[in-house]
Amino acid sequence: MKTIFRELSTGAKSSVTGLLLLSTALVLPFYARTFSIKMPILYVWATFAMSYDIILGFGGVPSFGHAAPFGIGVFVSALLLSRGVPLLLVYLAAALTGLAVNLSMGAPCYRVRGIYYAILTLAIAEMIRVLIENTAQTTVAVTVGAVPEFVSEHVLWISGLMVNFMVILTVYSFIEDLRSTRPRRFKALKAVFYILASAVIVFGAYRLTVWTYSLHKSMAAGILGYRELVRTLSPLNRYYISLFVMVISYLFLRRIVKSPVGSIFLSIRENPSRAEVIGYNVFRYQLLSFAISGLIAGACGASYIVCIPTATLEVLTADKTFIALLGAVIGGLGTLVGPLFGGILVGFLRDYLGKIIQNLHSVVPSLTVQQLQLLPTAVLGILYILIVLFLPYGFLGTWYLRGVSIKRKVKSFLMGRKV
Amino acid sequence: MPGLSLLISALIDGVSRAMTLFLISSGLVIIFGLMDVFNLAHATFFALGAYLFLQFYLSTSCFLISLAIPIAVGILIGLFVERVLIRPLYGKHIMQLLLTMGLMLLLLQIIQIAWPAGLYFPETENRILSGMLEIAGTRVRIYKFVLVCVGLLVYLVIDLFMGRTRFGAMLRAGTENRELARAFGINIELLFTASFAFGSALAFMGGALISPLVHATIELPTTFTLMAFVVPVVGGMRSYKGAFYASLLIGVIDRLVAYYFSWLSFAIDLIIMIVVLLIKPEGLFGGE
Repeated sequence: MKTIFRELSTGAKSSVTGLLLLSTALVLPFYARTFSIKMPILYVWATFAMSYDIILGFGGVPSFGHAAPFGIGVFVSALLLSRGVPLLLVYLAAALTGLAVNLSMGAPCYRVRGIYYAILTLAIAEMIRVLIENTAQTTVAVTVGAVPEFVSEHVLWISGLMVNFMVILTVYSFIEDLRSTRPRRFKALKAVFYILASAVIVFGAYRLTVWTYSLHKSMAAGILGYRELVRTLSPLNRYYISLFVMVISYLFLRRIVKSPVGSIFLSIRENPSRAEVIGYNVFRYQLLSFAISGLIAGACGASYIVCIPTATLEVLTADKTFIALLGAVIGGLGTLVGPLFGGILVGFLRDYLGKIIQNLHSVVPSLTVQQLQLLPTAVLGILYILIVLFLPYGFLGTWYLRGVSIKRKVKSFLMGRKV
Repeated sequence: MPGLSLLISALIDGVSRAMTLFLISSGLVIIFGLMDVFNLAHATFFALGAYLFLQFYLSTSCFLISLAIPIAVGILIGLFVERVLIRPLYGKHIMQLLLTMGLMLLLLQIIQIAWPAGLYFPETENRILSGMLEIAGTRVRIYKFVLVCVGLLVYLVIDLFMGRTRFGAMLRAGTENRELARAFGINIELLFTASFAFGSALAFMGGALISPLVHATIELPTTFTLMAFVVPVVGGMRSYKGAFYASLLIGVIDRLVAYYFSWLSFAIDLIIMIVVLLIKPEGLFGGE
């Protein structure tokens, strides 16, 4: 058992932070239930931004039609879910659809590169939307009704098991990390922090277990009606499903990025002609990055429908591409963790700005609600332009470039040495 | 004969649309040819021109003033965008592309916030602006002929400008070989700024000129964004002559398809673009 743990939490410090963040995210809804309502869509945007980063940050191909695999994934999963297909199959179908969409979008570009991808993908995504809009003539909307997985107790049981496992793993990795930390002052500081953190997550996991058990008892007694169940259980299940999809996508993408294929992506991004001369088929690898990204974007579409049960044509607008683009650019192109947090940040900002702007309505009454709804995107557009101009590597990328000296200063201060 | 009249009105419509496309894409290819910046916001500039024209036309009802203001705004916006936004990113093509994408989305939001319901060209007494002409049993707006004439005129002016003036020669030299042009003492940064302002002024003017025919609604930027990409790809990314012929081709085919097979009307442009990309990625009229 101990070796498995050691294997899973192999020494690297980043995995301690990662495990801590993951465990915190896992127990979050048991500290405040609003998280389970607000967060899932943010996880969707995080996944979406990561999937975009594979094309732009690693493949080096600007694609502005990322809404196409996502939006089509949303519609496919909405249609399948409303016909009662199991959720796991829906995810699979949506992911494969996204892959197919991106492959067919990237394939005509095999003779050209760079700018044509941008033009063609943007044109195709817009064209799909306009075509659907023109041919349907009514408002296109697919609403998903009752999904058995959302009110299933087993999903929560499995999630609870995972949560407890992750919490144990995190605490274990804390201990391992402490054992390998040498300077005493540093060790003491770390220990205090780790004890606090483990108290928080362990207590969260305890609350989850207790809550799940009481839910099980009342369900067995038949006290809870369906409506009660939807109100209490369904947000939690949605939360865990979208979080798991995000984590799995992250692990999958990280595996690819760290693999030889990932370094070929990087070499193509840095210098396509050189990669071609070395002997890599540039087009094939760029298409591969397209396909991987489409796979994740499609799965992300299924996650979207898990969070927001109505699919409208809005999911195909360039606005959705913009969320992915902004998330990836803010976090840092060419990193994976950056777009993850960038996507969460963008989703949060949209939500938050939307709330502020609702209050603005009383200040500037001449603007209608429709006009005000557009303001968040306009503000984010300005933010985006500023980031592209002044922080082209994003927050995480800039940290990787400049942060080393800051880190060293902090560390030497903690260790009690002069710089 | 209803068939003939349909054909005639489709053709006239096609040629006038071709001229509109030329007005958009000429600026785009001049800018791209010189500085390798593909301005994704270009068609949004065009739409902004239409909105500004209608805004001023509705309040002043003077055609020339409301035409001059969008052109002036176009020059100013072109100067601003080139100096402040594009200049820090010289040489980073992907970043420039990302920037113009952001600019496009931002301008789209601003347009929708400023004119949520769109603007509509009013009926006027002026025969040239709203009059109809009867040809072979079909009534055609006179203004369409005006638009065609203006388009041809602009083509001729650009042609003369490129061929006969010193600035045009500098532009051609810069497009041909930037480093060599710099070595011969051409201030290439100034040339970039000037050509960007020129191109965006062309887009604003195009928007202003087309607005009596199509009302300024949010469909205008979305439609013409697509069309503005198709034309340079088909005609060759760097040549305004290619853009002219490609506009004629795309405009006429687009309208003929729209009249006869309306269900294909949007997809056909994309199909043409993909076919050209597959057969001749450098463009049909670009490789000289």
